[in-house]
Amino acid sequence: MTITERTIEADQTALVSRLVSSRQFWLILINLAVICTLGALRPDSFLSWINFKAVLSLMSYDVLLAVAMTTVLIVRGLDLSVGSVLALSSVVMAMLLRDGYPVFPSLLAGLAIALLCGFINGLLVVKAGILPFLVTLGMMSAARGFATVLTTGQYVSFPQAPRWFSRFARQEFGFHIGDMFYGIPALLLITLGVTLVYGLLLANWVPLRRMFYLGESPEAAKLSGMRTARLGISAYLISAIFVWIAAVLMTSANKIGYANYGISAELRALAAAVIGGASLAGGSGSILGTFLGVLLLALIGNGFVLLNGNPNWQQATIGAVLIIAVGVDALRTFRARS
Amino acid sequence: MLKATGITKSFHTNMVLHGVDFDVLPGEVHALIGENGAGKSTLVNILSGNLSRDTGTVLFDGQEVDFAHPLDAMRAGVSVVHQELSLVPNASVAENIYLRREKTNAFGLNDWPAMFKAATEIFQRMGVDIDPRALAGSLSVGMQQLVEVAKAIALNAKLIFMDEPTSSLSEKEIQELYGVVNDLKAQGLSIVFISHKLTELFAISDRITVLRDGKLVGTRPTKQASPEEIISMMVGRHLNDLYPPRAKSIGEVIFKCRDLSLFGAVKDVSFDLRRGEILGIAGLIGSGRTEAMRALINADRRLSGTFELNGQAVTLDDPADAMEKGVIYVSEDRKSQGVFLDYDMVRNIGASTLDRQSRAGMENRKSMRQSALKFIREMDIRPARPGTRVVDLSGGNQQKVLLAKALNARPKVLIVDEPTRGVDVGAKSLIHKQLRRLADEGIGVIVVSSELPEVLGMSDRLLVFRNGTVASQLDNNDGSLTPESVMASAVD
Ligand SMILES: Nc1ncnc2c1ncn2[C@@H]1O[C@H](COP(=O)(O)OP(=O)(O)OP(=O)(O)O)[C@@H](O)[C@H]1O
Ligand SMILES: [Mg+2]
Repeated sequence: MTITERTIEADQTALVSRLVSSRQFWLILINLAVICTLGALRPDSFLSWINFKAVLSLMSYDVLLAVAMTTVLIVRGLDLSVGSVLALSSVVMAMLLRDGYPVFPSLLAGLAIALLCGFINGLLVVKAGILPFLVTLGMMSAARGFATVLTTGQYVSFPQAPRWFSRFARQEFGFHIGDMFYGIPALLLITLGVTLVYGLLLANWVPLRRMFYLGESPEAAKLSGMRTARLGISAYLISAIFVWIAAVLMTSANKIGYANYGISAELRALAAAVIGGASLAGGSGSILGTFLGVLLLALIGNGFVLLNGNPNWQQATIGAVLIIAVGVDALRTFRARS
Repeated sequence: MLKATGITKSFHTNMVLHGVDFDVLPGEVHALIGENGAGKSTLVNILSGNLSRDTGTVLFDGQEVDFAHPLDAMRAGVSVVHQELSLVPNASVAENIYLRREKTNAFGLNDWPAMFKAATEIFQRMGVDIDPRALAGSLSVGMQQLVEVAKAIALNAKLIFMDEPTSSLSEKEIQELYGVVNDLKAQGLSIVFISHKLTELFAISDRITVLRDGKLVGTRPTKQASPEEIISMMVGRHLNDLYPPRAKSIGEVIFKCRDLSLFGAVKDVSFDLRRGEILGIAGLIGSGRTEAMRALINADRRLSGTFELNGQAVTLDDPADAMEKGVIYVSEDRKSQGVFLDYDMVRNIGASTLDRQSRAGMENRKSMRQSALKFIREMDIRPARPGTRVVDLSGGNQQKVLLAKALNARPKVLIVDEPTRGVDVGAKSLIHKQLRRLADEGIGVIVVSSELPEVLGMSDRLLVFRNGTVASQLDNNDGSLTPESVMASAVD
């Protein structure tokens, strides 16, 4: 039989066309295009190390939350509570630090509260079969409300806490070139590191690969021998872990806990994940895509600031980009059909 | 009535229809047959405005038409019963029948009583008992297929395409559907009927058109054609031995099921499965066959049931547990409970074996690809490109992928529900041979099928289900069972 050889050849020629039809490829091109445009319009302010650092550091939180969102989208879920749970977790950690508890127990308490929220979300969605939109909308409100009650809406600072904690997120690691010091804040390094490792695992590690099958067809996954309930809840727990990491970094970088952290972050996270190729219908999404989605939104935001644009346009632009991304998808599936 | 000439269609670089001519006369039943992937569904989709054609002309009622959308075709009087079910699961049966053509009252609101009444009338005409208020998603696949037919009838169409309408109906419903088809024909409607069941086509059609590899092989008046001639037109060669030989030797009991019950659907089902034999399960739609098999692996939470595998008690807590023990169920509903439509063949065939085909916990794509290639070759899946998404395969090839996924998981007991639904004669006999080979190798095989000739041809022993219980156990090792004796215990 020559089927095998012919097949392999056919698959290899398909490789190039797969690259061209891959979403990440286009997102990289679009991001580059935006970078070039901004670079051409504002060479001094945009193409500076300070600006790059600021853009990348600021988008760290969004990257983590978008990764959280991508994870639940893959299993055909949704998590509108990422921003609120970030705030709640941050507030809890800050209050414990303020009251003199050591750093690690305080951080663990923050993790525990985030996991608890994720677990409740997962349980209600998976076991009780309630729509994820409703469950996490409720959690979004509840977590934010709880954080506000705990703090009466005030900032929570923790002057007594060990100094390393309130410094580490902004600590810069870098190198000298000539007189210039090119430093990268730990906040960004940690985000990139965690995201990279998770991205690789999500693309290869069997337990995480199963989540894709679950999102693509829950019934087929079940009959293919996957423990679907466990998988579904795990996705919400993983999401909670990323929210917690964002909370730790934000609390350290700002040196305060605050109940209004992460307001409307869930919408940016959702937009970035969908632009990056995740779908509300489940079964698709990648960390690289999501990262590129966040980057695109961040660059657009940065562009508005540098070009002295009306910042109110920024939100409108994000919406437009989202609609374009979804529109292009719809067009592609439509064209593939006919 | 309809005259299509020179229809061509390509997907990307893959030419699926090569200048096909096809015509339908008023008041005729025109059968369309061909192997899986021959292009039958594609032709139907083009003629009903669901897909666009590359070249060719279509005359309908003497006028040249180019339906851009299924709704255009419906308005002109063309309706389709699709191969893949397309009902809205969360809407009632009546809503589905009148989808986008809702009956309205004086206030422009949906006139529910009128819709329910009309739907009931259609079902009466068809001689089936379906509640128009039930949610479409709650019906079995067979019932859903009947609703699709009702939907086409409700349109008052002049021409109805039926793409494998009987693929999951049991004998009784099929007879009723024939009645409906003959009624419609008597009223002057034309019907294009696609099926892989030859006997069926000979029973109701006036002419038969055969497609092979996207080309028209020929059209014959049914009266002048013989099944052998049609088969050789289809596959380009002669096929003999429709069913493989029966078990050579039957050994000890390998799987025991006792007192299996599922609330409201299955009651106290017990049976043994022996080494080397194929156990057939027959029964009408709604008799609890599928429900019993799903309850067996606890896909739907059962009330009771104990099991023994190779002499050892096993619990089968959930489908995953059953699969680990080696008891695998392959669903009748391949689209929503079987394959992962948007994923390619490699990912589908490897879905149940991610653990086995991993290295240090990481997915081993090379090994997954190899298995996929192996099954593509063994089961002659076309196109033989492992990177093809399952949604782009023809129905019969999707079914092969579904079976490959189960076989890849190395079952000890394999339960296949409608294993050849929508599969052409050649592929069907290939699947039958595979199942027999598994049984010969000592794997327990249970075949659930609505198609009586299939269960009779395949099984060494037969359980006939009625109202959720085993109505009778029939021995068939000499192949002497007749459809009549099975039907006698299937209906009360
Ligand atoms: N959307 C699509 N994209 C690419 N290829 C497709 C698409 N739809 C169908 N095909 C290919 O077109 C060919 C004809 O498919 P079609 O569904 O018409 O076959 P069929 O005769 O109806 O088969 P079956 O009896 O299995 O239903 C197949 O090779 C199939 O893989
Ligand atoms: Mg077809």
